Amino acid sequence: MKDYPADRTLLIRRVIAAPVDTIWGAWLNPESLPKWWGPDGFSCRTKRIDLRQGGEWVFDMIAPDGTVFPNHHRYTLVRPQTRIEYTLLWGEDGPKHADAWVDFEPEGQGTQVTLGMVMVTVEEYRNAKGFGAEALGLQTLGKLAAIIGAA
Amino acid sequence: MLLSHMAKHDPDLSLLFHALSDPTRRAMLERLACGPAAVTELAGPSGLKLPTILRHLSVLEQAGLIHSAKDGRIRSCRLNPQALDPMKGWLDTQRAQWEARLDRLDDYVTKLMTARMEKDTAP
Repeated sequence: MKDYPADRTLLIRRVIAAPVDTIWGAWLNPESLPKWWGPDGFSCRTKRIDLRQGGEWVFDMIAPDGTVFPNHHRYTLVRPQTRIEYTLLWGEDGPKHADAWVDFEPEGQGTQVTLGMVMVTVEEYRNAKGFGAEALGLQTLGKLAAIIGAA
Repeated sequence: MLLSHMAKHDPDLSLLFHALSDPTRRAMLERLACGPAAVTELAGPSGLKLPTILRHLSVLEQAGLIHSAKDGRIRSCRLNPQALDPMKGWLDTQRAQWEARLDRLDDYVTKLMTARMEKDTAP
């Protein structure tokens, strides 16, 4: 109960009937990634995309009603056809709101894709570089939940 | 729509995240998970002054994580575990979005492979 990690962690596993290189090719590809990232009815407007370790994806998710959700992913680890780790920021260079990772493992003729995500707490926001406690008001966190919804 | 479902929970989530963000408050919740306790009892291990303790308890109470009641001169607190439900709801929303995203990835690579196969078998 110390840090409620279970309440902040998401783990999803899925087997997709395609070889790892095909899935990796659809993921680590600036042309195809925005095509399936979604959600349905949303569009991605990319500002910068550089899908490699140390790279980033800065983009807006645009809802069907025109609402814009700014996103910034920083790729902290890219191990070809094996694992991606990235940090989700609230808008370009914004406070961090989650750490995520994706594992790719061959399974039979297909690939097991495992997604993990851990939401950060307010405490971690405070430690985030360049963001003081005043930037972390409740309103900010309220907006944050909406942003994460589109992330 | 998922986003409107999320927006509905925003105020709750903000208060919850704020309440859970402090180690002293988490220690208090941990103590209360073992059963109700008087304020003085909660103050005991922390070494904090009473006004500080009361401020932390007020944050927990506003987030709905605890209930407190006064009996004579003694105020006692108890845990309200249901208060964590909005957080669970939020994660469920995330899960739904990722499931849908993986569906789209699945569709995308399936189309890709079908197109490749057609190309390979084309005369």
